[in-house]
Order: sequence, then C-alpha cells, then structure tokens
Amino acid sequence: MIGVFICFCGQNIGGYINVPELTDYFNNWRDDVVAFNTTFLCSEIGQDLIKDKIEELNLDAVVVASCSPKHHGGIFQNCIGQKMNQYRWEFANIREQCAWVTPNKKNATEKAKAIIAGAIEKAMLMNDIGSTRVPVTKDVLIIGGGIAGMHGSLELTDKGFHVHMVEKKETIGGHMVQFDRVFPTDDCAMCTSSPILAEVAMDPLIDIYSLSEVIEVKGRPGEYRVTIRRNPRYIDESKCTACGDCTTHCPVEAWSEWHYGMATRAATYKPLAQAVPLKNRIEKESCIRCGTCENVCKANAIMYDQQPEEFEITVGAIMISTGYDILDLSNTEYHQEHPNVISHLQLEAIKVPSGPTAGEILRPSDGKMPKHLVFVLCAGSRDRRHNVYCSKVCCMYTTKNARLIKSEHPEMKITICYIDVRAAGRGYEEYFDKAREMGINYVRGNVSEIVPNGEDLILRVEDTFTGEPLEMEADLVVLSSGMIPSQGTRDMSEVIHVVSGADKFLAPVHVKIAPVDTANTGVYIAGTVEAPKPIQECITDAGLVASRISTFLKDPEIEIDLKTSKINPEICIKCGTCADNCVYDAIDTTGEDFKVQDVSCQACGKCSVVCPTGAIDLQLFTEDQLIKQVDGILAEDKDSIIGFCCYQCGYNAADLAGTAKAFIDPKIKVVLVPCSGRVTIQHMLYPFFKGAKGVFVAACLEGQCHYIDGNLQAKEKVKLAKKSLDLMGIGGRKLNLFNMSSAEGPKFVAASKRMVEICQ
Amino acid sequence: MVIKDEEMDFEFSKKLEKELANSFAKCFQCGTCTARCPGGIISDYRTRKFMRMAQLGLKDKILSSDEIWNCTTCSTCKILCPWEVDPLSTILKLRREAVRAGHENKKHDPLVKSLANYDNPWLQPRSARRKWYKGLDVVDLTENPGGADVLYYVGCTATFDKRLWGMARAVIRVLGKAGIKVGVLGKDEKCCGGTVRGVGHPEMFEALAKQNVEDFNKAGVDTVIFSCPGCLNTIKNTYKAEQMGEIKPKLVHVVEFVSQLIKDGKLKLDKDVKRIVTYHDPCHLGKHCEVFDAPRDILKAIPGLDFREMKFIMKDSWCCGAGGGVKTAYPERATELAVNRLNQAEETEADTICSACSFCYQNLLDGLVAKKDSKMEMKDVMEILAEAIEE
Ligand SMILES: Cc1cc2nc3c(=O)[nH]c(=O)nc-3n(C[C@H](O)[C@H](O)[C@H](O)COP(=O)(O)OP(=O)(O)OC[C@H]3O[C@@H](n4cnc5c(N)ncnc54)[C@H](O)[C@@H]3O)c2cc1C
Ligand code: SF4
Ligand code: SF4
Ligand code: SF4
Ligand code: SF4
Repeated sequence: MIGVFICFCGQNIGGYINVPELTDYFNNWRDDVVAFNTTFLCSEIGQDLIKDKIEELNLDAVVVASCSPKHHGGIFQNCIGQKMNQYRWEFANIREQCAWVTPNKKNATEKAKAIIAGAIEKAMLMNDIGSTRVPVTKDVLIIGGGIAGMHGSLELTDKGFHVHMVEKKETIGGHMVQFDRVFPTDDCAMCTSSPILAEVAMDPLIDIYSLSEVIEVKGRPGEYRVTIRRNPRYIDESKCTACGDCTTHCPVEAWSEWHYGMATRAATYKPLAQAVPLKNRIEKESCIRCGTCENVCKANAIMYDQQPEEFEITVGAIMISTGYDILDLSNTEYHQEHPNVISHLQLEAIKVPSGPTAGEILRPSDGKMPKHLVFVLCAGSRDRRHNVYCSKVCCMYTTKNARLIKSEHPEMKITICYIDVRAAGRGYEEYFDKAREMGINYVRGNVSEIVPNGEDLILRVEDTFTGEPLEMEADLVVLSSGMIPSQGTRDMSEVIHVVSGADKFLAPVHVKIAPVDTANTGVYIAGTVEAPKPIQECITDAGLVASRISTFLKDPEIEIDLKTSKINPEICIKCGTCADNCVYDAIDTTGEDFKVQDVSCQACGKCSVVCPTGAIDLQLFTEDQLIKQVDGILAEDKDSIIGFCCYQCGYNAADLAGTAKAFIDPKIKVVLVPCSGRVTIQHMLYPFFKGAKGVFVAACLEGQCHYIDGNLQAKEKVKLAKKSLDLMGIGGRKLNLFNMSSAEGPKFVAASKRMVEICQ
Repeated sequence: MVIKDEEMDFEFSKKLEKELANSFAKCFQCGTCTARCPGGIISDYRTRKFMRMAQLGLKDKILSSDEIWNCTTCSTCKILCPWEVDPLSTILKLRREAVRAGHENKKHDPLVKSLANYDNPWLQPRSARRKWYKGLDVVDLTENPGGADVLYYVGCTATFDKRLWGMARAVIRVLGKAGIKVGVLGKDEKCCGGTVRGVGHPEMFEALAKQNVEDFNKAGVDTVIFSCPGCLNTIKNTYKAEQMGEIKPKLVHVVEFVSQLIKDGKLKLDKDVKRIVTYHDPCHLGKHCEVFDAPRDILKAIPGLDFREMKFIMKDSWCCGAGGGVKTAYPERATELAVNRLNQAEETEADTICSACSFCYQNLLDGLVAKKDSKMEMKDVMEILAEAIEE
C-alpha cells in the first residue's frame, strides 16, 4: 500500500492546483493507493499525519506531493525514518515544477496527476537502504604549506591529529613569507609568519615533506592511500646543518626563482633564513658539478646522485591548500619583458629587508630610485582577454605598498591607475583614505597603453573623472597582475578529481553554506586554492577545514548510507568496464567478486550506464525505478516531454524557473537523476516507445559536472540515441541535451520552450 | 546642469542594445578606449561618455551632439576594450539614429547630395571615372564581361583625386608585369557606400550595396581587388548577404594579391629601390581586415630598400585621421592627426612614408603639406613596388 500526501502549502499550491480533486483522484486510482491532504505537510501536524498513516495502514512507501525536495527533503526523510526505512518514500514536486509554472489551474491539476503517478510507480519499487560502518584513519594530509596549510596543520595537531604536510618547494611558507609588510595592519610579514613557521617545524605531530608532490590518491574517504614523490635536494637533509659554507664557495650565480628574478643566488642555497626545513638545496639546472661544495661541506651532506623517491601514506582526510600564482604578462600589451615593468610579486621581492637592495626601491635597469612610480591595477583582471574575474586583493596590497614607499620617500611621485577601488573589509576604507591623504595620486581609468621609451615608459590612461586622456611618463611600472590558480592547484584537481570552476580555482560544494567542502567526501580546500583572497580569509578557511576534518574523523568509524552502486555477482562477467568508467576508483576489482566500495562511491551511476550485463546498478535511482517513473507519467499524459534533470544543476534550474514564476508548458515533465551520466540510451529511447513527444537531458555546464565528466558522457549518449531515433523514423531532433548551471532558471525555461517547438 | 528623470529614456537605451550585440550596456566606464581614441585628441569627443549616455538613455543629448562626428572609425576602441564591448558599433548606431532624428552633420550634406546624384562623394560626373586609366591596357568589364583576369575596384578617392592616379596606374603596371589582365567597371563603378554608412544614411548605403553586388557578379571574374581598404572593409565586412545578395568573386586588397604573386615567383623584382621606407597601417586594412603582413612582405622583398618600423604599428598603430567622415567635416582636424602620425614616422628617419589606402594617402599628403618642413615623401606601396620593375 502506498500513501500519497498532498500539500496545499497554503495558497502556494492550493491556489494553483485543485488539491481536493487531486486527492479524490488518487483515492480512486488503484486499490493499493490512498491519498490525503493537509495545509502544511512540513508542519508538525502534517508530519504526524504521515507517521500516523504509515502505522495505521501499514504503508509500504510514501509519496510526498509538495515543494521541491531541495527545500524540505531532509524533514520528510527524517519524519518517515521514524516509522520505517528513511528511503521508502518518493517526492512529487508539484510546487516549483507544476503549480508555479502553469498559470491555468486545470492544466496544473492535470500535470500534477502525471507527476504524482510517476512518483507512485517509482515508490512501488523502493527498497530499504541500509547503512554501513567503516573504520577511519586519524592522519590528515595537507597539500601545500602556505599560510593556509600552516595554519590548518597547527589547528589540527592542537586537536590531536597527526598531519603529513606535502610542500612542492624547498621550504614551506608560501607567498606570505616573501612579503615585506601585510595589510591591513602593515605589520612585518616575516614577524607574523616566522613564529608560525617555527611552530610547524617543531611540532612533533607534523611530518613535512618538502620538494615533494602528491602523485596519486586511491582508496576512500576515511582511508585514502596517497603516493608522494619526494624530489632530490642533492643534500642529505639528516646531515646538513645549514651552515652555508657551500653557498659561500659555490662559483655559480643564477637568477633566484624565490625572488622572481630580482636577485641572484648560488647553485646551492636556502631561499630564506627562516626556511623550514632549514636545509640547503642544490638546484640541479644551475649546478655545474664543480665539486667545490663537496670539498667544503664539513657535514659530508652533499649527495649529487640522490634520486627521487616515492612512498605511500594512509590518511583519513585531505586538505588542499596549494594556493595561487599570478599572470605572466610578458610579451603582452603590458610589456612585462621591459626591465622596468615588474610584477607586484617582484616588487615585494625587492621590498623585503632581506632582499637584493635591502628593501630600497631601485629600478632593475640601472639601480636608480624612480621619480614617478606607476601602479597598474587590474593588469589582466576584469579583462575578457585574460581573467574575467576580479582578484580581490590587488587594490589593497597596491595601496599598502604605495603607502609604505610614500612614507619612506615623500618626494617620490606615486600614481595608482584603477577602475574601481575595492576596499571592502574592516578598516579597509580607512586604509585607502589614509593613502589619499598621504598624497598618492589615484587616477580612475584603466591603463590603455604602456609604451617603452628607452629605459622609461609612457602610459596612456583616461582620467575618467575629468574625462581627459592623460599621457604619463614613468620610470618604474608595477603591474598588480591578476591571480590564477597555481600549477600545483591545477595538478591537484586532476590527481584528486576535485571539480574546478571556469576560472580553474577549485570549487566548493556550495559557495555559501559549505565553502570549504568539496564534492569528494573527506577532501577540503582552504585559502587561495579556492579563489583570490587576503591572508585573513585563508586563516578563516584553514580553521574551518580543521573543524570539518575533526568532525569527519571524530569517531573510529563513520556511518554511510548505501545509496551507492551495487554489483550483482551472479551476472557480473568481470569485464571491468564499470571500474574504468568510475572516476572515484570506487570499484574494487582485486577480490574474488568485483565489489563497490561504499565509502568511495559517490552514487553518480555512471558505472551502471556502461555495464554490458546490467550487473551493477544504483540502489536509489535504479534502472527499473526510472523506467517505471516514466511509465507512470506517460500513462497519465502520453503527450509529455520527459526531461531527465541532474540533481546539481538541471533540477535546480527547473526549480528556479518555478521560483521566478516563469511559464513552462505543462507537457514538460521532469525526472530527477543524480547525474546526467546516469541516463542510459535506453532511458532516452524508452519514453518514445510509450508515446512521449520528446526527451531531453538537462545537465551541468561543460567542465562543471559535479562528477567530473557525467555530462560529457551524456553528450555522447545523446548523439548515439539521436542516430537511433533517426533510423527508427522518430527523428533525432526530438532528443536534446541542454547544459545549464544550477543558477540558470532562464536557460531551463528556454530549453523547455525549444523542446515544445521542436516536438509540436 | 541637472539631468532630469524625463531625459533618461531607458526604452531608447534598451532598443539600441537589442539591435547591437555586445555593446554599451556592459561598459564599466574604465576609459581604456578613450585614452587612445584619435577622435579624442582633436576634439572633446569621449567614447566612454557616449557609452554612458547610451546606458542612461540620454537620447536628446546624444542625438544632437556635435562631438559624435569626430570618430574616425579606426576601431582602436574595439580592440582595446577589456570587456569586449564594441564602442565603434555603438557610435555608428548612434550616428544613424541622429540622422534619422534630423541631426545629421550639415558638413556632410554636399557629400551625401553628391552620392545621391553622381554615385560618388566628390561632386564629379560619372564620365570622369575613366580618366585615370587613359592610355593603359585595361578592359571595361561592363562592355566585355569576363574579358579580364581580375576586376580592379579603384574606389572614388583614387578615381577623382589626380594625386592618386600614380598609385592606381602603378597597380595596372605591376599586375601587367605579372601577366595579369586587369578589368574595371569604368564609368559605372559606384561608391561602396562606406561613407554614407559611417555618417548615418543606411538607406543610401543599402541601395549602393545592392548595385555593387550586382555589378561584381556580372563582371565575370573570380577575384575583385581593391586599393582602398575602406571599400574592401565595407563590402567584405558590412554588406549582409541576406540583405544585399551573395557576392560571388573573392574580395582581396591589392597588397594581399601581389604579395602572393611575389611568393609564387610570378612577379620578378629586378631593380634596386634606394629608399628608406616606413609603413603606415591603414585602420581599415589592419585593425578592421587584419591584413598586417602582406604590405610588409612586399616592401621587404624589394631589393635595395631599407624598411623601418614605427613605434606604433599593426594593432597599435595610430589612425591617420581621415576616416569616419572626419576629413570631410573637419579637414583641419584630420590634418592634425596626420601630422601626429607623420611625426612618428619621422622618428624612424625614413625618407618615404607609404601606406596601402587611398584615404590615408590623401590625408597624409595633406599632413605633409601642413608640416611644411618635412623631407618625407608620400607613396603607396604599389608605387614603390613599380619602381622595382623594369619597363
Ligand atoms: C603582490 C601580492 C601582495 C599581497 N599582499 C597581501 C597583504 O598585504 N595582505 C593580505 O592579507 N594578503 C596579501 N596578498 C594575498 C596573499 O598572498 C594570499 O592571501 C596568501 O598568501 C595565500 O596563501 P595560501 O596558503 O592560500 O597560498 P600560497 O601562499 O600560494 O601557498 C601555497 C603553497 O602550496 C605550495 N604548492 C603549490 N602546489 C603544490 C603542489 N602541487 N603540491 C605541494 N605543494 C604545492 C606552494 O609552493 C606554496 O608553498 C598578496 C598577494 C599578492 C599577489
Ligand atoms: S657542485 Fe654545484 S652546488 Fe656545489 S659548489 Fe659546485 S656549482 Fe655550487
Ligand atoms: S555510482 Fe559513480 S562513483 Fe559509484 S561506483 Fe558507479 S561510477 Fe563509481
Ligand atoms: S573608432 Fe577610433 S575614433 Fe572612433 S571612437 Fe573608436 S577609437 Fe575613437
Ligand atoms: S574600454 Fe570598453 S568598458 Fe572601458 S570605457 Fe570603453 S567601452 Fe567601456
């Protein structure tokens, strides 16, 4: 027996749909279905109604006909879970996807019938979904030892976790330790960070792997097996005392990467007096193998033939904090190749007291102090030819260095060209105000042109306030270049399969309410790996990640619901196709029978789509459930156009169309799928055999699938299915794929309109 | 002055934006376009301000503005805008709206009247179109369709300004040397319509365009070559096939055609040319049609010639100042920009400045006259090339 519970939602549904008629209809529909209605199903009264009826009528499953499951799905699951298995229910979204998009009450009521009928058919096939407990490892991996990584590691060891920190460079510290001062307090960056560096170095619960990279991550949340490659230092870390004798005697003078080419170094060096680990390193490209260091090193630490080594560790959770880089604007209209056009990171490298000029601002070409220093804001930012986005911190750090330089050299003319000054933050506006008071010349206009003129530069910019074009001569130009995800960040998105956005920064599950969680359970992001941001926000992120990780790993075991895929060993032929198609390595092919590792499986369903025998299927959204749901809809309204909408984007966009009260033709009927990659060719063709007028798949934007490539797989399937439809004489044009983000309600409206036009 | 609520006509703004893809609505007022706009050097015209006025729908203010006629249609703004707004299209659209509202620039009247009566902007009779090629071996394709290898569309400027006949005749000589038979449309050649389009008369433009498409298709050749990039850009990039009909022959600038001949070994350059030459990129050939290398390839192939680049070239080059109706309406302003460009040319210590555009030729020549003291000579690339060819 199935119980259907229909909600009036006050006037929200009741005003558009004839709820009493609907209730009568389903009460007389079939013997094994009973229907009820109430004003607010989510209220205590509503929930009690559901619970009472489950008990009284011994219901097998429940259909909740109300708002989108994205709103109160959790409430109903919880309510039903008190009386039977919490997955023995199905929703019928008759508010966002019916009442609000269908102006005619009669049509809306008819459409609701089809939606509910589909839900009933699916609910008939609902099984109990169990849960399981798996052990977790308490160790944590932190990738990237910048300020975010360092802060996160200390927070975690404070909570008793053991941290493995993998850092690509020869020292941890990241960008912050390369700066002179930091806004908004103008305190010395090194004074703030060196205690942190020291604390990390001395913490017995932190293992630091410098010059190292993560090359493979396998396993599951709670038990990730991580392969690390440690690149050679050519100096034995256990012996080197960092005395610097080798550096003193090394004959090589090479450009220092650490100073962005603003200083030189020997082939054996340490980038920083406070480096962690405090060890020298021989940089292979510049070393000439003269043997000098080997002779002078009293500790016998030089190891010219050291090889890279690989080793594996096991961790329960991962924090990625691989940070940012800035755009290289050489050989562009910014002329960064000119010696006196430098990036802001290069300026910081000059400005640090330990730098090549002991902190004096001397221009690279001739070592003279500039008379007119011009800062170019938005260099490559807010520019569709480079970075569309704003890098958020450039206005502030540029103001910082302009203020610092001005206070030391009041006679120097300093100009900042900008489009908008973004000084939103506590104390920021005051900071900006002070800069103007100090006589720093802010010109509101984007630099049009930088023209090399011997050692100087000529800049053209409109002062948009007076509306007059300015021609300025500068003897040093500093580009506040746009920030981009570091190469390491981009690599990590490949190695760990974390979704990134169009800007290639790693994407959180939800920007607002889950800002450091990723779609991969147990993997978190902190700092500029997620977006350009100031140090303060990196710290906030890192603290939050530490808290999220300690919650995730608080018990020796974690419980997971088995909504996952499952293999039926009877018919599995062990071809391994599913395992090849699973980006989460969730299918264990090593044992007697192939098995899905429930903790790793993200329940996208891409495996079941490729299995040649149908041996693997999701336990929720099964093959049969989806087919039955379609049957139910088409039995009520055979003229329907079936839209398979992915949970993350397509379905959300459809909901938003409802929230906006847009018009959607009642022919359109949405069938929810976890990922567009779960839709099989069979799903695409079947509705046509049952009389449907059209079929579409609404998926995430390309490159933004929450399961990496589900939408690309769907694209291929749609192509094939279109061909079949052509051959069958039905017409491939009646099947289409639409890409949209979760925020693009209008795109869903347009897609629906298009489908109705095509499928007249 | 206070802008009153009723002056802001957002319907006007919405309508414009709908007709123009990717234009002023997205402008964030950064001024990148304006700092480098040649129109802004010679006047109070500010591209950015028009983008803003269009956003606010200040219809009357925009349409009655004198400043809008200072745009030379060089396209620099379009290339520079970081937000990929297309200010030039917006300006051209606003000009059309201004004319429609009866606010045409009166200084363009003679030009517009001339076009209506004589198919050319220079108040010349149609028969005068034959004068420039007197004595040359040229086929009139209107009398003898298919009687030549290519159609040479000379353009009104070179046809009627005697100072440019040397250029047009050089084209015939160079092509003749490569064994190519050249045809023309004789007295039936018509203006491409670029000028009337630029100064806001879409109907006249459309009528001329249709006529040209028909003439090209009837000529019986597979290539039309141009000396004037303004004509080439207008015909190639602004004629709409659905509206004016499909053009069958291929459209190329003469420098593209000739540089290919040189590459293919079909044109032998046998004489040294003792000149120090710099090249000015015409906006309509460079920025609009993206032809940058062909003229340079030709100059570099000429024996004995010392080729020098100016500081601002290709996409970064400065406009000569002639385009967009500026030379007609404000000749002294156009000359001011020409002088600006010539000063840049002189920094290279060249003795010759050359270009590949009839309009740049005229204007830079006027600039040389105005400069008085310049020792540079104005030439077209084809004239210099002709010097490298034995008779
Ligand atoms: C010129 C400039 C000035 C600034 N000034 C200020 C300021 O005054 N105040 C302020 O609040 N903010 C400032 N910022 C912003 C500030 O730099 C950042 O907020 C902060 O440093 C980011 O820290 P992070 O840990 O996220 O990244 P990062 O500092 O970039 O650290 C990332 C670390 O990860 C390592 N890594 C990268 N890839 C891998 C990999 N694959 N495996 C292992 N390790 C890897 C890197 O080597 C690095 O050590 C400034 C930014 C710039 C560009
Ligand atoms: S062997 Fe290499 S690192 Fe050592 S002193 Fe020589 S150049 Fe320097
Ligand atoms: S449902 Fe997705 S994550 Fe789970 S096993 Fe299948 S392909 Fe892998
Ligand atoms: S086309 Fe040239 S002259 Fe016209 S607005 Fe743009 S930059 Fe100025
Ligand atoms: S460059 Fe583009 S965005 Fe900037 S003012 Fe001009 S049109 Fe507007």
